[in-house]
Amino acid sequence: MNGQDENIIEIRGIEKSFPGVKALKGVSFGVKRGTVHCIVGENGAGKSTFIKILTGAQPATRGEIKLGGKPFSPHHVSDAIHQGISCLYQELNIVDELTVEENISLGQEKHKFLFPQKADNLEKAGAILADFDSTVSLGDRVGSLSVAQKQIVEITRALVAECSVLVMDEPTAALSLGETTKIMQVIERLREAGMTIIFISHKLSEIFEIGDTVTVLRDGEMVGTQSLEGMSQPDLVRMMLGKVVAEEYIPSTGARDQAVLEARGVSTRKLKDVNFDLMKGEILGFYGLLGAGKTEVAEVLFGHEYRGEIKRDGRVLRFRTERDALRAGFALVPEERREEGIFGLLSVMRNIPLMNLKTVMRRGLVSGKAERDLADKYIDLLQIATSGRNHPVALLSGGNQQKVVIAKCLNRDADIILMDEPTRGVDIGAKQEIHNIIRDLANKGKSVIVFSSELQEITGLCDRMVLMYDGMVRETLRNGDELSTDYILEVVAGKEA
Amino acid sequence: MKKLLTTAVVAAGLTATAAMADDVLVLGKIPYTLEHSYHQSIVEMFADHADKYYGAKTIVVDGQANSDTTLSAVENLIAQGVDGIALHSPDIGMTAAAVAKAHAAGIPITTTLIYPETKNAPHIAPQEALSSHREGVVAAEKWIAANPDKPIEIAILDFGGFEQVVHLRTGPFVAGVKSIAPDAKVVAQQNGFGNTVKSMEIMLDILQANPGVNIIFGGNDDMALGALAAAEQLGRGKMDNGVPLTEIIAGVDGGENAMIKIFDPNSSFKLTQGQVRDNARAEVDTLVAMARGELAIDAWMEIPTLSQEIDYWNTTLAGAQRFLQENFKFEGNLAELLAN
Amino acid sequence: MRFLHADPQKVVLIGILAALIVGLTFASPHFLSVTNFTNVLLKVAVIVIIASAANLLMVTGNFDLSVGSVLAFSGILHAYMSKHGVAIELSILITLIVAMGWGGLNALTVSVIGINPVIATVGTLFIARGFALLIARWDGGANIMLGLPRDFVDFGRDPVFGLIPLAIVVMVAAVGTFIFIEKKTALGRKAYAIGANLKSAKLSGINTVGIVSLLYVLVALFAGLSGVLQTSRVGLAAPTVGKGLEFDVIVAIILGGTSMLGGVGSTFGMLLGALVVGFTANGMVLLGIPFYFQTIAYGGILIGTLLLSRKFDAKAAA
Repeated sequence: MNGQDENIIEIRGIEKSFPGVKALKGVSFGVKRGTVHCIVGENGAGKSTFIKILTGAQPATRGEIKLGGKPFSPHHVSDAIHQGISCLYQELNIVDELTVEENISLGQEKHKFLFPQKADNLEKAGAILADFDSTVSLGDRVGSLSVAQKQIVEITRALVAECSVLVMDEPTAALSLGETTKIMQVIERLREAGMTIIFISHKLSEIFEIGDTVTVLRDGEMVGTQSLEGMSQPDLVRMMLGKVVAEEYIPSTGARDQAVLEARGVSTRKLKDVNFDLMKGEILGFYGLLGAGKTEVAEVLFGHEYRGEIKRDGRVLRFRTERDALRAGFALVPEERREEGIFGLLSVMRNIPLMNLKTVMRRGLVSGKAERDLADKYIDLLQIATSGRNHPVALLSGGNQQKVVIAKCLNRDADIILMDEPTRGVDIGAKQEIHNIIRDLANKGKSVIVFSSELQEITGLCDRMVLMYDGMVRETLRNGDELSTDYILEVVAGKEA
Repeated sequence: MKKLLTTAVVAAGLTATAAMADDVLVLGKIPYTLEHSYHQSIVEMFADHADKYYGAKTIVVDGQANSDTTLSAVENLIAQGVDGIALHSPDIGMTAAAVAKAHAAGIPITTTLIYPETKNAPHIAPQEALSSHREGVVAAEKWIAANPDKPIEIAILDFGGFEQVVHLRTGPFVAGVKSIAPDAKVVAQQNGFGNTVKSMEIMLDILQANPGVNIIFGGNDDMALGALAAAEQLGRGKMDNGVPLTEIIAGVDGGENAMIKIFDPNSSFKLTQGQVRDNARAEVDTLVAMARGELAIDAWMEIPTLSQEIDYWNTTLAGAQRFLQENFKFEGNLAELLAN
Repeated sequence: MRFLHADPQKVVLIGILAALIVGLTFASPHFLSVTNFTNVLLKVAVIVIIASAANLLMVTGNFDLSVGSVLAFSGILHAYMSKHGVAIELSILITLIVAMGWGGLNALTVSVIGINPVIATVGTLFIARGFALLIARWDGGANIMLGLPRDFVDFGRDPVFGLIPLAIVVMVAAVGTFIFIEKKTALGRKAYAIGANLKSAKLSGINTVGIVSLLYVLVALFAGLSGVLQTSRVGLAAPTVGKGLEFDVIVAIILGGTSMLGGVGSTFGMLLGALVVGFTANGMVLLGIPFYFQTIAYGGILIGTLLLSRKFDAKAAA
């Protein structure tokens, strides 16, 4: 094979302009056949836009792509799929109301007299599915599946479409450790079978584990394309950020000796006898695999029903709705920011005060000036990258959307802040900023509970961590020098303490 | 749901529960729509007459001004095995289908108002055209007598192009006007949807575009009342003790709401016509005769009924009072109401 | 410039409105007059009054199909009570309270229980219409006109300050109130938030059920008020009025740029939408165009405007 044939995809000078923004400023690189080619970059670097162009969801403004030596300019997604490029998008692209089988057939139905016929490759789908997760069957309704299982259905769908290039945009973002490992194995197998994979992830460990080559984007520009062999993690981060990021645990400065929240024997259908305390000025982390019960604890603290007792400053709490929880001084940064956090159609300025409209009311009426000032304050404070306070939040990048959610929450001025996956799908730079905001809150005497499936986040950020397994609290650890990540992994994987 | 409710209410109020004893005649009556007072009245008159003279029971099914609903009403009555069906069909094609179905089941059927093409069943034909013409003549005469210098301009509110309405109402009315004033012109003709509120809105626009309009004909009284309300809003709608000042408004049906305006010497709504009782009686009599075998059920027959013309100048108050009592079961006193 | 950038739909509507007014001024000598503009405003008044409230309701992602029936019911109820000796003011008050009851029913079924608004408000549509027919029946006729006291009609016809018809005054007040609510109150902010993302709104502590319920009650109140105004002006209460009014209201709202999915829209846009429809209908009657064409034009305007603004939108986005 000569050099030309080796590259299944050739990208030359791709540019993409939106009104007022140039999202891509000339991206060029080649993707070798049968490799795992990673694309990394901060949020807003242009990864999502690039993927949309590659998969036919959006046309490029300038530049050309060659697939297998032939010009490739798909007009829509199915065009790209027919030519062999399938994509797993970051946000689940799956219909809850349909069965697994119907979802897999979706978009690739054969039609007979306009009536859709079942795909004839369902057997293959069944086999692939069984390989991933034997508990999911083709007849299950997708709405009843967990996030991880939905993801698996999506991967299966892409595999069934028999593509030669598989684009994976954050495939593991919603997966637990075990499932991530499984998918890594599948990627490995696909590569051995000659499939080309374009892999996007914020988790650098995954990049180094699975990737052959990496292309780094920053602010819509190409930083470079390099082999991952011999490259170190700090090298890559340096390419991405232009600055070195090292996140070490910095204890909160407060005394942390006064319990603001005490949970005793909290049980639900999923939780079994959960006990913990939260101190004033503390960052408390909840860590566990997917399904260990983190989300349920967050729900209980935000108005879900439970048995047992929760005391706030010594007084027993009883709330039935989210509003009760907010009134009791809680605020939540929810896990699904698009579905539960932001108001996408509304501007940044309109989003921020919604948890506490009093902050923009003057004499009983909304004050335009107060609204603008408040927006400017948080845009500045949280470094929200937006073209203006009137910009709809839906058009911001994931990390900036999350900052808007956090701004909304900060504006509530709650004493106890619950953060469910606060940096999920957020690039390293923004992640660091969000962590600093959280530390700041604790240092100002607020108490923060962080629910995260990323161990680095928990160990880098939290003063204490609650380790969960199967709806139970297995152990509560104090952060510090003697902390062993191996030990933590053993605990959350089910080892008796 | 709503229509079901209306039907149920009316049916419960007007008919004994459909106990189908063999010796009792049961007649089906399908009004055009129970939303207009004319049809509410004819249903009552029909049931009264059937009961009083023949001891017959009446089942009412609302046609809801809709061909499909009316046809299924016919099918419904056929299924119940009624002894005769009085149909007010919304269109000619539907009439043919309904008559064929009834005949196939051996059930007598009559039609009314909408003149059928398939002439194979008795048709009750109110002589509206005569009275419409008469309304036109009277209106034109009165206008010219009072305002000889103002040429006649006519505005018409209709139901949006029913052929039958042209034949029986708007056409003869205009012909009546022209027989007196050959230069009279129809300057506007719009759909008033048979509805007072819509007619008011549209008449406001018509009078805006054609301030010279001085004779207005509403295809029913509801539309004439809407025209009057529009004229009143524009500071018109007046007469000086029966002498036309601004315009003359004419309608069709003759209900109490119209009558109170017509006999108010200072209102410009002055003419109407109507017939309820005789139509109902003709329907019942014809159906019973067929049910008893005295008439062939498939023989064409046109049974004329008089549609009485009523106007401020030629009808006495006592005559109007009697008309209301006979046709609309009016229980009030017109003179007293006018005095208020 | 910011205005142009902000909302292509409004620009399109203002353009169409200007074209209509200029065109009709040349086409008909009777068009450009105070009386005619009053007529147009009177014609759209009922639609605009109801749509002011219904617009904000649609901004939350909900809608009310029962407004025409509630209007008819309220008109009949007011006429019935006035005819049978209840003082006009008291009758209006009672009518408005009962009208809010219909809104309460919608609020209960849609907002509290969570039934789809299409189904729930159509249920109210039928029930309210049935009761309207029933009241007319109790009174003994197809509609109520005879025996209405003089001040019943005076209320609707006597112009305010001897100048402006009451319905137009109420319309301006309704539009003003809702522009104010939309721009300056927490209610407005929260309504947009609910429409933009119901889940986020709940998690942000917004009383979603309460706000949507309140808006249903306000819509019904305005429908009731319109019913009172309309019967008073016409001098006759018919249980069959207002059929299809729900569509006129929704068309005005959608023409004005409000999304049926919620989160986007404005009272001012709705007003423009209603005026475009009103002036078109007026112009066609003035020009003596048969009503079939008017019906076709009605549909044409709706689709045409939406297509045009979409085109502008696409240009703005490109």
